[in-house]
Amino acid sequence: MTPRFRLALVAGVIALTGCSDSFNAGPIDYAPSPDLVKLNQEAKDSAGKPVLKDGKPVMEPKRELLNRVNKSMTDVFGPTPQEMVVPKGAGLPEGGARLADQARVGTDKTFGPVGWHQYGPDGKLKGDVLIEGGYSLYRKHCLHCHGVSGDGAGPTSAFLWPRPRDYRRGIFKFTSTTGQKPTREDLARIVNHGIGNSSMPAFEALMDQREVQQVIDYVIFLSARGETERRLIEEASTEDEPKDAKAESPINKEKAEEIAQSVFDLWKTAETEVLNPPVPRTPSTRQSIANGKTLFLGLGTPKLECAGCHGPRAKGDGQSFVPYDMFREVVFGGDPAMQDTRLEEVIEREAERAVEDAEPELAEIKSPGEREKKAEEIKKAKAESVRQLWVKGSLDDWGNPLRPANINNGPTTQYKGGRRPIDLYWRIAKGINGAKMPAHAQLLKPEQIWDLVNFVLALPYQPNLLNDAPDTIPAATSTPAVTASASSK
Amino acid sequence: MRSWSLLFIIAAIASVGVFVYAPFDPEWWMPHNVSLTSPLHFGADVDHLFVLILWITGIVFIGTQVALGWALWRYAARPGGKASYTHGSQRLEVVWTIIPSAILVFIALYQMGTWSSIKFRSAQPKVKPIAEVTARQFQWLIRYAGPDGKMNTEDDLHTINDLHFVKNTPVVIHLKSKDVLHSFFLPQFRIKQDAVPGLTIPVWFDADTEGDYDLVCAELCGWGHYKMRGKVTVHATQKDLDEWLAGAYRAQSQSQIVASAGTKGSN
Repeated sequence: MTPRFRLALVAGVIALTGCSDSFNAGPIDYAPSPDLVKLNQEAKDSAGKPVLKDGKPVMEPKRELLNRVNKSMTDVFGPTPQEMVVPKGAGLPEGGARLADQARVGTDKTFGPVGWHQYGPDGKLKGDVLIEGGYSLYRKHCLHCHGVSGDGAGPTSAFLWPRPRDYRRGIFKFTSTTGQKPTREDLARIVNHGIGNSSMPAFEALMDQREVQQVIDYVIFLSARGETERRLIEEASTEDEPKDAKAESPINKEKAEEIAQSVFDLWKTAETEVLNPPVPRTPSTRQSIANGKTLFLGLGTPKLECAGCHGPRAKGDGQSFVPYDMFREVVFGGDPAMQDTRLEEVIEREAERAVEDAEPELAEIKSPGEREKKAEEIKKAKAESVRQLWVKGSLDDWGNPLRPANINNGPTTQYKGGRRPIDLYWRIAKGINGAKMPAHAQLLKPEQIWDLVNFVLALPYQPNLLNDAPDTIPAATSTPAVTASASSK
Repeated sequence: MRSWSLLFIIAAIASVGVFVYAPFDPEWWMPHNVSLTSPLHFGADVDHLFVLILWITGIVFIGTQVALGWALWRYAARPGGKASYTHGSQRLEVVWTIIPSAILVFIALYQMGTWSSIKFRSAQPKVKPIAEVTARQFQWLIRYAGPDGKMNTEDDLHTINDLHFVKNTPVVIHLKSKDVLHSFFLPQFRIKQDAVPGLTIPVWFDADTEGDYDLVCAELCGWGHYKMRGKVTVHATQKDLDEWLAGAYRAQSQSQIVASAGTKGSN
């Protein structure tokens, strides 16, 4: 056999058999959360410095803590995505069996590859039948953005803005509930229809509704896992005193189970906390739209600061956020990893410009030393104000930059949380979790919220509606609207 | 080294075998065609052209493969064999240039009627566009006129990846793109049209059978290209379509939680 023939043979065999991707049997691990990374670092830093108790060395507390956290998480949620354990009382449909279409039953410790049918309903081995299940569907459709552990840091996430959701904090933006957890139906709506103006696609035509429900099971599982880990580490960090290895530690399987239980309870209660508008929608009359406009511009009672973020023309360019050009330069100006460097450059440039603008004022100062000092002050103040605008005003709870919605974008206006009147009612009444959109349910009467909804829905088709709005809305410039301020007019 | 020619002969026979077998296996052949007997019957025209070209290329393929196999077998290296030199045959070259050119010209002329009925604006059915389809990374935003029958008004009906119309009735959609090049592809209708940013392109088609079909993107448009799958629903009657439109509009207008209904979203 000539080498050439051998090569042809090998190539031919590969071409004929193909590379099967039906199941990647390599190990898959949950990516460590930032809290876990921090704990790990602390453990490393304190390594080699044994803590003595009663003259005897005991295990290093941080390392021990880390081990306990990892062990407890493994006990409660399973060691890897391929070996899931459904926590007791998770309340997932079918006892969590839909997560992977196989679950650890009783004392049976055997695990097959996830996503393959292992046992039929009669308990008999069904063989290698490829079947969906939350985990395999998640891997196929969601993982490349949302990540193995639901951290929103999958391989494609770096290319996206807005960034994919990190489930591990248990906060979801578009909910119908009064809390931070969505109902299953809220999640189903997002999965089915996607999120406008973001990279979240619509999956209604890619999955059937049974599969969507399975994916939701898995998302809840990942979210609860991340939130449990976070709270467990929080609990651990309060445990500072070096302890005897034999002493009872508060971080154990029972504690993790207890926390997991309380997290899953939040998910369960969310289902009962859906906010139904207490009064039916006001018909979208001219008067109702005008009332909404007055409220939007902050000219009504109570005084709202919608325009502070959304801008006086509702174009999403309010002064509580950094100007769009600056935002674009920092966020889209190059390598996403270099965002902080670009931010510093922009701050520096803005500060220099502020000094240039103050040139006439500075020229009046006679003494060069004084002038220098004044210029330095101006520069510093400007840099500080831009930084504040960015850090306080332009980042969401996950630390990602965000923009207020442009709700006056003509017929192409998109509403991320849905365009039904009830969706917009929820957005205004409850705000957007984790983002800067505040809740108004306490502040406004339901009728006023409906006026605002009618105004927002009319705006794209009545572009002249805001033509007579003042160019700038005097508002508290330091912080975006969290509560309505009555100080300025 | 004569045995090498066997490899080429076997490959040729296998290829022909695949094409002879394929039409009898729906999994191997083209997607189900639902535009055969409808008024526009683009599916029938396109498949006719496809099969015709397959016959032409099939015959040419068999001819060239036979010639190739024979030449490899007949003129394989032999011990003591002597090479002969030739400057080629001009007559042969002219023949094998003219024949393919003639075939190409024939195909170009023969397909013109089909092309013009699918693509020429003059052939566009005189009906009101049923929807505006806007491609974006990575979904199809679909806008219907809503109860007032006018586009771009407050009562427009918006759906995502969900196109509906009635069978045996030519429909026109207006195709747009919000970001990059996409391609509006209805495999079961044999319709494909690029969506170009900045252009509004009318596309018309119809179907002869009610049912659910695919809408896919046929232009690699980014990392989520494969997720741009939509559903096309062909209704049996106008009444069915009207009912669906009314239901979808009701869902889009929802302003209260309906007891027990379990909101199904916009469709």
